[in-house]
Amino acid sequence: MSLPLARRFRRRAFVLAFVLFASAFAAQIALRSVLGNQSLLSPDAVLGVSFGAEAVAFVVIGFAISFLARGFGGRELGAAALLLALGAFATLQRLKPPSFSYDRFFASTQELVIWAGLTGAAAWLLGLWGASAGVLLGAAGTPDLSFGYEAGIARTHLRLNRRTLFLLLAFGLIPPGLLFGAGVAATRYFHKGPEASPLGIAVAAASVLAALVLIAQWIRARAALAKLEPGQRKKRPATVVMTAISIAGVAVGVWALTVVLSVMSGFEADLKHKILGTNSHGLLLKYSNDFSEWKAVMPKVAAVPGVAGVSPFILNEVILSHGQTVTGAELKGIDPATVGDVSELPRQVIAGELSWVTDPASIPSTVVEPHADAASKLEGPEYEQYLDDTLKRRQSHRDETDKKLDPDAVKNLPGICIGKEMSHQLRAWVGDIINVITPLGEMGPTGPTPRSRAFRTACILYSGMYEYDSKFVYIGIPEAQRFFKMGENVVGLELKFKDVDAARAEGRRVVATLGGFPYRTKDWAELNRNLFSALKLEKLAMAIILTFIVLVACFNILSTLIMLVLEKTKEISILKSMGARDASVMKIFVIEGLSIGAIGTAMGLLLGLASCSFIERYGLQLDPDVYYISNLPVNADAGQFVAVAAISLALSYLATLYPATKASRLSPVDGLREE
Amino acid sequence: MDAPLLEARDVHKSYWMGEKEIHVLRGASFCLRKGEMASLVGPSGVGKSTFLHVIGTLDPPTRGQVLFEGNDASAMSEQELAAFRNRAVGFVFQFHYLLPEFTALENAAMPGLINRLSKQAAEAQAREMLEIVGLAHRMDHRPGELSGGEQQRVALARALVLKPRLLLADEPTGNLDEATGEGIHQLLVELNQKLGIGAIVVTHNPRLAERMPRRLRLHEGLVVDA
Repeated sequence: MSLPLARRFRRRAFVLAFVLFASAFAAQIALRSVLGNQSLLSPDAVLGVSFGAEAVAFVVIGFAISFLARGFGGRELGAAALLLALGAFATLQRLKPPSFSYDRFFASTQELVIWAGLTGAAAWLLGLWGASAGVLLGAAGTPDLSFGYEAGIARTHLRLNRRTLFLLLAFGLIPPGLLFGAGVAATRYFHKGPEASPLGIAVAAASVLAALVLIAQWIRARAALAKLEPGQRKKRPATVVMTAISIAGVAVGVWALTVVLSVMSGFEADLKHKILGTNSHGLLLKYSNDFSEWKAVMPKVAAVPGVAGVSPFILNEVILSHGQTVTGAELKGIDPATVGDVSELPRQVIAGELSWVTDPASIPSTVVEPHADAASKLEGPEYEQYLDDTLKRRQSHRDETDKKLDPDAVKNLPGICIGKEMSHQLRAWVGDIINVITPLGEMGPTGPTPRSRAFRTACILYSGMYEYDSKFVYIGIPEAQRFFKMGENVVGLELKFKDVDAARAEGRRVVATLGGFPYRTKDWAELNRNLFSALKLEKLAMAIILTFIVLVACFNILSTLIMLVLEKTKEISILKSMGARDASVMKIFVIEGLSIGAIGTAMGLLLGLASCSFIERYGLQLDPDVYYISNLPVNADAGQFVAVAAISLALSYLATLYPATKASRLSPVDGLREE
Repeated sequence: MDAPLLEARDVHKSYWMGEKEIHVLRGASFCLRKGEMASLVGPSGVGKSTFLHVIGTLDPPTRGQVLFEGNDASAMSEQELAAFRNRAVGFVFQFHYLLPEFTALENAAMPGLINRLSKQAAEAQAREMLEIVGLAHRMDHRPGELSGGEQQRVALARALVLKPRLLLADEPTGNLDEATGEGIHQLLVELNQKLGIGAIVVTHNPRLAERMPRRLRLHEGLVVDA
């Protein structure tokens, strides 16, 4: 009458599942090799795309198999996954994939066992996940895509009526609205950041209005409650309270996840901005040391469609001295006329002029004042100290070095630009004379003798990156060529692309245009790989930790649903006696769990968005000495918000499966017998 | 002759209470013709409800067969069983078991919605059936706002809304006062005559049982004609 206890093992489902699993696995390997060889994606992206595609395929296969297995098909999928794991092991052993460990080149047997095991486990679990959706849609019989009365019943279980919807809306909108309003107010009060937009004002006003309405409603509800007989209290089952707690749990998890990820992205974006302010998007280099044809190459490179700017450079390590202070530095030869096309260098000048590098005669002999906008960029006690040490010092001791030298000779000294931290270290201001020493001098009787040359400080730069401001100094290309005895050679060309994120692909196009070898390019991500990969790892770790918060919140959903199933056992029995299918009962509880998840997620996202806006507008202070960023950066990325929502909803769906399946398998008499 | 509406062949049902097996039905067999109405009596705890659940396909028998119009219920899939309960049988229980959040109309429309009728169609049928049971004026009330008799009438309308061929009523008047119970019984008999629905009514009230065309008694796990 009901299902026989031991369900038949459906061989056809098993065979098809195995064939599909195996093809998904083969497709993953093929995709990985094709993408790895023929596309410009990074290795991480190739792994992500191929494994992502495999995972999606497993889910879809599970979904399809559930219709053939007329149910979850746990055993069929499990057997297929086991076989897949064995097949994967055999295949991998023949393919000899590279190892993830640095100790050996090819993966060891142990590693392959782990790989194969993970593949099998993933196939089974993801397949079951897909199958659950199939069961939900009536895989056990004829498919039934309707959610009509199930949604209605789920709504009554969650008490979603006009009043609770209103409450939810109020709770969902007011805190973010207030946060947003506070941010807008802070902007106005402190007079910094973007002006308050009309939309922002509208949202803030709406939130205040909503708060007032809510308070009025609450007072009315209190009054209505007071009218009840003494001792007669409104009945409210525990599940309603638990539902509210579950929603709040998901909201808090999603909130934390979005805010932390946005701040991490903010750091990343800030870093990227600063790195790309000083560095170009890519470098065109040559495998040999004789890049003398650069003047001919430059227009060719500039003509490549994706290239926005190109400028030559020379780079060498030197020692700098000013008075008694000595420091090491990276000396970069630049072309002041074109360097602005590839980096922000001309816009980083806080005193002097970048063009004075090649035109030292224009460096005034009077003391140069810092640019007006520098003060607003750098204001604070630290900046005062800096000016005391450099500018004031120059004002009071200006003749110290110049006196000993012939004024005409001083006028003809080549110019040099230094970073703000470097200028602080050396206590040098615009006009001061700095000695540059390179160890690569002529051969003397005792070996190479260092060569030294005096430069006059032409400008001071501030990039915001401590490392750059304390390490980089700039001189003109001709001077650098002379100083390092390079003849007409340069080290390479700096490139700027129209699309920063396509830097690698554009770089390859440039090399292709030039005919390939001996030219090569390096993009900014490659040049700063350690920094960005550390940042990415940190972000991933954060995302995983915070996903656990959402996971915990989803356990709330799980327990709420179990309570609901227990509370509604009788109702489930009645529905079944009226002919509700197992899948329908399952649908009811899945809808409930997903509603809780969706409401919580929406609230969390709104709260996260408002928090990001608040952080951005209000500008939480950081210690600039530690972080070299004065305000907590935040970058609310739409893709990240969508990903968080997807994770949260997927976890809520998972949380519903156990209680929903339990409920659907209740026998109709379970609830009727209890009287 | 046609196959009987309902036939139970040597139905056994036992429960496990811890280590002890309790035999409730021990080979009960009986036959119900189309449109036939029968009462089922027996002392409390003898297994009347269990018998009703088993022949209504809510509970599978431990052994034996239940045939509905000649079809073996044990051979049906979960989906076929659900469709069978939806369209072929209607249940009324001692407690009304209406969904408290829905109005009388929505409750009576539920089997139609489960049958994936449109909301309009399901509610039209429900309205019709509520009029038949005499509740035309209380359709928009929730169960909590109805009297016991009215609640049981809504439950009856819900059981009959898809015009099943069999009605199984488990002490439908057990929770009502005598006059109201009398009214429900009267209604059952009327509906049986008007709609031609076969019915088995479990009752404790010998006077009501007497009035049924056929009287069954459950005795020591067997069904006998009284």
